[in-house]
Amino acid sequence: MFYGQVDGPIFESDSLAQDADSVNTRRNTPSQHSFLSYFGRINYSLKDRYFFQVTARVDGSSRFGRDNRYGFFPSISAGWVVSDEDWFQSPSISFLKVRSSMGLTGNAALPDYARFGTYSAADNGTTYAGDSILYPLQPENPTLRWETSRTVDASIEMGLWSDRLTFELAGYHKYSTDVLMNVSTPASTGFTNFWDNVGTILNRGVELSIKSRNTVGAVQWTTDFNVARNYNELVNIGDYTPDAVSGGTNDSRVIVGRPVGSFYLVEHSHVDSESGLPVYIDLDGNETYDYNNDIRKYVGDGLPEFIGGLNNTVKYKNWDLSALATFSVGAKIFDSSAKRQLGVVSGWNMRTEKLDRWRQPGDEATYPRLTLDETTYSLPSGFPWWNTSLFIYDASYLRLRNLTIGYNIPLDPGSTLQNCRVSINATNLFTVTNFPGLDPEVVRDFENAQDRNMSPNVTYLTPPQERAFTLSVSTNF
Amino acid sequence: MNIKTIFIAAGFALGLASCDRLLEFEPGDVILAEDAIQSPEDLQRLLVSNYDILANLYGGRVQIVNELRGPNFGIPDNSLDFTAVYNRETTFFTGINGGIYTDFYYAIYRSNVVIDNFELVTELTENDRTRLEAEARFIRALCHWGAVKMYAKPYGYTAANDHPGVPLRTAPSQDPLPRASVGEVYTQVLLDLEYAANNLPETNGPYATKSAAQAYLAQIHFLMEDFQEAADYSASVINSGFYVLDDDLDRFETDIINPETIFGIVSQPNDFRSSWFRDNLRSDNTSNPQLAFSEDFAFFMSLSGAADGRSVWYTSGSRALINRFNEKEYFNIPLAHLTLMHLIRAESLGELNQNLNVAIQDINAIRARAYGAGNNELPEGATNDEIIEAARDEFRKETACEGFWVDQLLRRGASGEAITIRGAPWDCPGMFLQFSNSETTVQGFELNEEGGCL
Repeated sequence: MFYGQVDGPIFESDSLAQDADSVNTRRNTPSQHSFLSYFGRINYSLKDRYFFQVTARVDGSSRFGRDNRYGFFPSISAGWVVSDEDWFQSPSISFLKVRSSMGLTGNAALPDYARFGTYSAADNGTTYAGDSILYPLQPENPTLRWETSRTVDASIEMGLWSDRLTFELAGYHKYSTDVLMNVSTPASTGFTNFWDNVGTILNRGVELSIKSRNTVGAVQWTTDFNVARNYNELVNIGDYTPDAVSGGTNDSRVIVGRPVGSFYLVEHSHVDSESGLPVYIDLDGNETYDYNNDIRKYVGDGLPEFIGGLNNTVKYKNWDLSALATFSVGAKIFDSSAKRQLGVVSGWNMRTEKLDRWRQPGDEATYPRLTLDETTYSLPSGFPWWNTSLFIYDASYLRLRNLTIGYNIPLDPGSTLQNCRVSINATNLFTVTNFPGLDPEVVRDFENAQDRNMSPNVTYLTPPQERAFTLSVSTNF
Repeated sequence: MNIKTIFIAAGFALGLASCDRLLEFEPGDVILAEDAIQSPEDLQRLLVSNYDILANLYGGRVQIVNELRGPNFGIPDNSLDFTAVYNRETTFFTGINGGIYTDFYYAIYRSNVVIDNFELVTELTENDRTRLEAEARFIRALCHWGAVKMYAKPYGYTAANDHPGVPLRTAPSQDPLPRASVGEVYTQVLLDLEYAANNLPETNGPYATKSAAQAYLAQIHFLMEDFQEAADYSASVINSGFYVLDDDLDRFETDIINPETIFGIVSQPNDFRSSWFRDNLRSDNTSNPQLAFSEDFAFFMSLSGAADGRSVWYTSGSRALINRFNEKEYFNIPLAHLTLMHLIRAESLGELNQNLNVAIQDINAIRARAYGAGNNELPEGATNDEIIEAARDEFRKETACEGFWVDQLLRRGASGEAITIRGAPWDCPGMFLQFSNSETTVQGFELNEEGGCL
């Protein structure tokens, strides 16, 4: 049995915290939650080549009410070292193993007290006409329950030529139901959002890892390569619309049949060469000059087709050199700040790309005519946020993420030092990409998980990752 | 099963049960909903939170938005939200309309909670219960009516008033609701206010009274063009003896409840509730305030010349700056007041073509204050059309910045008059604010058509 208790902030969610702030909530008491788990595991190994494991666990969380508090999450796995079979004779395959598992897992990532209907404290300090007030903070949701994922995975591991070359191919299929989300609710209910089990999400993917000891002996050169393809899809969100779940910079949504956090924008077609006005695509696929939030649709997502990395390490005598390159292919980035920096001219600093703008009839330009008036682009008055697919870019990149060269200084046998190493490390030395912004690898800077999950590959004045050079001298006594 | 096994199993079960207590955590310095309402004081404090929301709504925000929909205000300086309302192009992303809508329903929800939870408080007297329900229904009515006027085409737009209004919520519920018809909303609003009028006390500090409910019944029947009821309810308030017309033209007073105020918002030295007026309208706060009167309104005001005491409420120029609230850091805001009652009664009697002498007295009481006694009076033999015209002129002037005029134009448009507002038909789609974006989060909610007024 395991029991854990945690004190922390009341809300893990910015949006809930902001909502609470808006009604003058004072909350100073640390938030608390606990988990209570019972688990058992049986491992069985037969002849050191057949492996079985069965686990069963019951997890309880204080975040759920009595009726839904516990979840039962069993799993089963099996492995088989094929290369250990007597009948397996191969001059080149030195190791071969297959394994697979399936099981249920639970997730309770929600604010500690989301299930409770709550009111302000009696001494909340807010008055009207000198009289104190009491007000509701959040609605009760007694049906909150564990988000559950059914996972099936399988892999094959192989070693060739005395494991000079090893590789692993793995795949997984994860089907999550009762996904916990902070959803917007109709304001006419008296509240604007609450936590609920609303979604069904599918994740699946395949990953290939290869390790090669290219040379052994005086020069030791090792190469690690991995590549993965992951897929994510919102399968169901009940009666909710894409606008029910938002987060991040507010340009991405949940759309059934698409990855979570897909870009949900008006589709931009081109700039009219005669008028200099932007042309949009409506829901029927027709060109239109009319911008309207009702014609927002899925226009892309940040999910890459492939991601991976290549790491080479070379050691020669006391020297070592390692270089790690990472890559991503096929993802899109929505540059959310471009809607102000390349759109309607305002108090924002404009970007130089705007020079490629329409100036006179006949111009074939990327950006429409300059304007201070949002209605020129058919945006509604008071809505200068030119949110269109024009600012979606290919985010493919190849990056030399890490380069290290080191030297282990030889020490006398009687030295008091156990070792002494000098190294120079460089990170993010260069990036090959067509993305015109600062960094094609978006590192989300939101505090809460829903904001991060909802805006993968959306930049909004997001600072790029730094290029750093480090000289290190290390030793152990 | 031997005795040892039974003991082990029982011990394990007991262990599970006792461990369950380790999973009990409740929030610390907030109150659980089931514990929140236990005494009459709790209900009263919940009720006062509704007045707090009304103060947030009517501390200038609703008034300004309604003036921006109408012809009295000019183009805003640079506020995006004000510009969206002024150009009648609000969307569900525009903040100000979403915020107002949300606040209306915060108050409606809380009112419903008050009404729904009397049985939780055993020591509640029958008098208190009745009064609390009357106040809660008063606020619920104000908010439903306030919302339906802003987010739906007006009463009378269709003969049966079956055009879409706003969600009608008469019980606390988290279930999404579609828009009720305008007729259904008005019916419920009248029911609530009639209950309030029959059960509210005649005096109630800064809170709702019998006269306040009657004053709103007069306004609502007036917009429904039930002129007899409008005249009768306004007469009841005028004749109640609780209110007198102020000697001067300033109803927005600091630290004083103006004697005309039937119901209003209270500001206090440490609790300014009039900041929207101060921050956006006062011409002495900044040389370029966010909002100013329109040329049309300035021209209309100029027709009566400097003899009209209300002419000091604006300054002529490229922007007709608003002076009505100058030099006031905070003030109380009348929402229903005696001037309104006199003008509603006058126009209603004019429409009914009865008791015209009373209508003339109503108008002349207002004019005497504006021009000085005996000046610019409506003659005794004025026709009903002249009375209606005079009542409308005085209404537009007296309620400048109070957000009432657009409702009158929409009423007249719905009754067949050819009304245009800043060059667009009175019923162009964008006149009616778009709903909050949160209302679109559930399939099936009917949004308003946007734009179409430029």
